[in-house]
Amino acid sequence: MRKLLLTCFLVPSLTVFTAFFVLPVALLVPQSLDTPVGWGIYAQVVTNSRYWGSLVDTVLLSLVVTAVALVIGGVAALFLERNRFPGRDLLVSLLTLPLSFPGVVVGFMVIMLAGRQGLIGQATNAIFGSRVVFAYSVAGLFLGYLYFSIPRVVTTVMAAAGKLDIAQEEAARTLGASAWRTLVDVTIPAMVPALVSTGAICFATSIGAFGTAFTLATEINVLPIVIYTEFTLSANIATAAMLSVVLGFVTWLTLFLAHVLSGAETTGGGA
Amino acid sequence: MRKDGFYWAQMGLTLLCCLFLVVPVIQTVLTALMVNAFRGMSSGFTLQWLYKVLTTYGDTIIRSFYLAVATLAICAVIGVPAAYALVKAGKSRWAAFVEESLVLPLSIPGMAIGLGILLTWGGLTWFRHSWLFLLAGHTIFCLPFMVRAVTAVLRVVPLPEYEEAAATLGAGTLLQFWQIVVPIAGPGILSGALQVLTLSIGEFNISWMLQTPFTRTLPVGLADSYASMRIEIGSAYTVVFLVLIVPVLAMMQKIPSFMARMTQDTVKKSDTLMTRTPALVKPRALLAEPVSISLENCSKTFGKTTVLQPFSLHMPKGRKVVLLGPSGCGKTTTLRLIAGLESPDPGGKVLLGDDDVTRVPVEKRHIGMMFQQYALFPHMTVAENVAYGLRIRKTPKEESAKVVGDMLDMVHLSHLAGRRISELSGGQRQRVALARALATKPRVLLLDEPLTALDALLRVSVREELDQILTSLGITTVIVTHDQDEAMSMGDLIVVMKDGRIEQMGTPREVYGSPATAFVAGFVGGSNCLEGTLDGESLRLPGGAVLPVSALRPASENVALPEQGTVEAYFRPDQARLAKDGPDSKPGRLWGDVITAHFLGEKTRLVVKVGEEGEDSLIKLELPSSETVVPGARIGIDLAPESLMLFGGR
Repeated sequence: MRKLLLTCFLVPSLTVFTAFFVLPVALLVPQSLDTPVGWGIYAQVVTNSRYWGSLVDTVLLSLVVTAVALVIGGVAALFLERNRFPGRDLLVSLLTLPLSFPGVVVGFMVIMLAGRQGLIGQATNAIFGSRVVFAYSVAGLFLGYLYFSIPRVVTTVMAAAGKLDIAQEEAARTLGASAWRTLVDVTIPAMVPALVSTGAICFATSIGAFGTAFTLATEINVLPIVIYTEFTLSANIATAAMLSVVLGFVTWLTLFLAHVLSGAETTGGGA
Repeated sequence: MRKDGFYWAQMGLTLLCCLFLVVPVIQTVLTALMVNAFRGMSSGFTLQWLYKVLTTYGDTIIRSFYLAVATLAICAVIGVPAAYALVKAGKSRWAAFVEESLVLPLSIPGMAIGLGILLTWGGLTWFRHSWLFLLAGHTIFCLPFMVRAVTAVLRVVPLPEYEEAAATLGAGTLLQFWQIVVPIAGPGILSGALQVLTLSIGEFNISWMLQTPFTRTLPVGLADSYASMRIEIGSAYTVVFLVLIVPVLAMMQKIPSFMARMTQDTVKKSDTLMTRTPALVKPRALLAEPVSISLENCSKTFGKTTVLQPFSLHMPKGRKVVLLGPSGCGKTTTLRLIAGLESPDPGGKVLLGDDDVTRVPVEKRHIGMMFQQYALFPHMTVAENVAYGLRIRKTPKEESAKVVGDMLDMVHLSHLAGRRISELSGGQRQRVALARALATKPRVLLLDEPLTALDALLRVSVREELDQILTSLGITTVIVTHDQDEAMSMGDLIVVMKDGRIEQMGTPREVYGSPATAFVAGFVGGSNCLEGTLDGESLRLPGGAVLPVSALRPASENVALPEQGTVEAYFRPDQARLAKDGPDSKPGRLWGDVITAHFLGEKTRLVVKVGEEGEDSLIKLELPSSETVVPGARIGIDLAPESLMLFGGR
């Protein structure tokens, strides 16, 4: 009786989930095979220089963004978790504010910073007499990805650092370790699971980020943009589906591996 | 911490980080208000851009708002029950699989999901063209956040205890879900709801794939405005988005502290940290006719583990029966069998009076139960907690209020009727739990470790008060405890249990004075055990004591002693005397070396090693504190033959 009720509790969610997630995502595979070459279409990821180049660019950019975000966000988070000073709460709020910005807004923020009428452009114009504009280059894309990655790192690392047992660090100090050695030997190892999981989330989010790249309409073609153009401009449904499957698989694999390695929760949330 | 260069470097980086994130936001707000962004602030300020956005894109703003609310409604209606089912399913493999699957949409880029939905369902034109198409996408994207937020809360609260408490008070499964689970999950639902709202309002990737010219949402409109319009309009539009989302974000900031208050209420320590004399309890009229409790041929197996061997037990009406034993002995399971929270293995029977309740579910058994951690509902006041069982029984308001007032008066808590549970001390919580269990005038009262959650200093006085109340009510009470002091002082009858078996049932005096088994002798009264040898005429103990058999007797009637061979001799720490007269050996005198000696005020506690090297054993002794003994001393100990409780050796 009780079991039956609990099953009934799950049914609505599972129905919606199956109809609008499992089925659509699974059906992407047959859609991608709907060409004369069949499974051969997946070889195009490597053989077609446009797709391959896009994949490599996207992965490289995402890796660099993840690394930089982990360092900057990690330092800021640890600092904020460990120190109390006036205005600290405000800083925390500001650092986590962009978490809920959609990718398009993040793109717009980059335009605000580094676009034609952006702050950097105006400042350089005032000082050097020429406008520095890089919002639409790789550097702009990098800034955009960094913009949505830093808040993710800050929240995760702050939560993890808050759970650390300060006594362990104090123990290391009583045993003769310097502040720096304590950080390297005790604090950072204890935070590895959090760093792995948040790193994976940043990486997966960057790889799948569509809105930011879309707004910046960048010179380099990241994979989600390629998928979009294949679908809308070329009406090349099979290729779009194939690339979606590849993209989905890469992000899922990243998060899955991180989950297995770190044991921490690794679920993204698009940007 | 010293504020050295390292500190300021980190501070600098953190501030830089903040500036990077915040400056463009501020710039956006300014630009939205400027007459001409290119000429800057000197061009003056205006609201025309905001007005223009509201007129041009008003439909996207309203649509996004409605869509977010609809998404929230669906996520709450289907997500909260799902989260509950997942938590209840516990660690089973399929539950873990379902849970991992439900968050999969977060691992896959939104545009891939959007493309899939479009290719799968896009053929249904009416669906494709209606906003329901977007609703489906948003629900898939937001549902995991609701499920995760709710499961997170339900996993940190003692959910089974709350549900069992509600069940013993008469609530069925659906009522438990609606009246207990949903309110307790409140902070999680709220947190999930805020996440769903922000995510839905800001969702772009899926929405962009699924939109039609008639179903554009705010972020879709934003992308459009960025691409084609003046920067002032893009800024103004972004400001509108921020205005929608910032209040929700601000509320989210409050969630962690709110969550902490609801889920981990810390007991106020102030008034629990002192001993006090027990208050006198006003005598009460009998609640309901007390009934006896019988367990017939009951056993209990969980999977392959047998926690209770088949046994029968009769507890006479109106008595206080204590189930005593070490943890894992099956005493709590026995209590739960009586409550109906567990059912006995086939063949077992539970009777309340003459009423066979074996198949009656817990909520229909009409029993009162007090849980170890009290399981007071955190979302209700003291009075509401006490009234809960009456509310389930649809007792008229006035009558219910009278009973609640009566109960609170009995436990001296009338002045706290309106308080939240989190504002109470441990002792006050215990009394609320008792009042709640008694308010429905139950047939029997079941107390699971009633004093364990209390501070040691408070236990004695609370015990005295509890005992007064129980005695004056005359209700049949079953008390589970591992503490023999508690058992002796509260029980009319004590049932000593071990490894799923009943070792002995008797009055405190019988259990203490005539233990039926060696285990009872050792467990009750903390007796020492020495292994001795019988040779037909005398008993030899380690340490040189020799006692004549004629002076000895078995521990209780049912214990058989061998003529010859090893036996176990138990004696209580306070029944040995320090030998005063010279070093001569005397029958019944043990010699031993003092290992430790602690002065405890009214007595001195010794640990003494007796017997030869290699066959030595340690015994505990309690001497009057007038005796001064130092560690290392060799002492003689006299044991009266009648103080020995003998059992046949193993």
